[in-house]
Amino acid sequence: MASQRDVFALTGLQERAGFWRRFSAYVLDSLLLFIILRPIDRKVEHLVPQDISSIANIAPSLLGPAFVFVLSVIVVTFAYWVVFEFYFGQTVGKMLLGIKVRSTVGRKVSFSQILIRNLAKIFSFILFIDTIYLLVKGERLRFSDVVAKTEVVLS
Amino acid sequence: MKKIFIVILLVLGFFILSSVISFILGTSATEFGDKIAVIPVNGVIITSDAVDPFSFGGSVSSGEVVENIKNANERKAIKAIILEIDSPGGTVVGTREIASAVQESEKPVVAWIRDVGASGGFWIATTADTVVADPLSMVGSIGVTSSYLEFSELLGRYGVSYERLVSGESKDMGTPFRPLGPSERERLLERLEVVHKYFIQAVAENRDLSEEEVQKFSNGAVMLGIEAQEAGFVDELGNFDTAFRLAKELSQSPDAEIASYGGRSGLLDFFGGLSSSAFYNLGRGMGVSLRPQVQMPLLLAQ
Repeated sequence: MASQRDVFALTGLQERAGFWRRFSAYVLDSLLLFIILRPIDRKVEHLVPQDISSIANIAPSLLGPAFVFVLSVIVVTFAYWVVFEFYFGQTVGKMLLGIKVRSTVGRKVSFSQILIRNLAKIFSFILFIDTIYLLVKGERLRFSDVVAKTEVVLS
Repeated sequence: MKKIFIVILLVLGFFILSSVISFILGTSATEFGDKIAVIPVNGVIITSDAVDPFSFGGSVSSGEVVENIKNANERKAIKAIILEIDSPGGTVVGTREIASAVQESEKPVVAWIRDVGASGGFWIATTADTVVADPLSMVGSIGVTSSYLEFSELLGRYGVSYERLVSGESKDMGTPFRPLGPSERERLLERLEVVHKYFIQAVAENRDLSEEEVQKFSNGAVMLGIEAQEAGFVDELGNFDTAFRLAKELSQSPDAEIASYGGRSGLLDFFGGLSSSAFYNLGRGMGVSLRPQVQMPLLLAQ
């Protein structure tokens, strides 16, 4: 029986990126985001020195004004993934690992597709489901990819 | 090439966005709501910023405490500071650094003495706007020590000699390998007296007492919290709730919440609690024997 690689080689279709390549790209992007978010982190460190449990001092509830801090981190993180994937089809991590996002329905991936597939970046329980799906199904697709009708392929 | 350039610009753009957001967060005092900072002064006071992982009973760096006090003063949301003191004292300079920071604090400071607020710990407590202690806290010990172990006889018994090579007669004064000369002892004691006088003056000034009144308690002995209150060194007897209430009253912030400044701990801090159990054990002398002896530096320690 032909392997996925053989099928892709025969048909000329681009091969989907495997778990480790996607994971490595995610790690690289996370490191870059760590640097980008450093100014906000430092402000938090200044406000809650040493005692990480004191994060509660400034984020006692999501309904309170402290939501501003949480929201700013979410906005910058989400914007990074969405802007890069929408305009380039790749984040910096994906560029370095030679993979990109592609739509499975239509030529160009749409903004809504990018938004849907990146919800996992800000809701960790979705990322958890995505990872399990990716590992168990063996189709090299996250659950968010299936919903958004996208795939990550070798570029 | 163009793509790389755009990518770099975008990454920089995100970084700038993050910086702008952090600037806005800083100016708006993100910690909405009033806070009372709780800053620990737990363990022997030292000037080094490196926490000794093997310190038995723990040590606290004066630099760290000063930094915390300054940080609390900078944060708009912090309305008052509670200094959580559980210290037998430490180095003179370290103590004075913290005491100065407390005196320079623009926000009210409440000193809350737990098990021990002795010597340097006591000096620091007196600089606060108000002092709270448990009735049975160990407080006071207005005195100075620079005692150390001297091994010359022991070395002599084993045929070990100390080769003394010095350019100045007093260069090795205080070395454990030779006895102190009579004039050296006298000079050191004079210096201890100077520090002792500073200590008495500071306590008198901080507690609005006369030096004569403080002198009565300056033989280095500790007293219980209840005795310290009678002597005018402690304002209120109580616990954290008392300190918290006073901090809110002084800062007129009835709805303030706690902002905790956790201290870095040494590896054996866990065992430090064991020394507390020896405090009232007369056979072992108030736990002093469990404290490490430090050679030569002037110590405001019990």
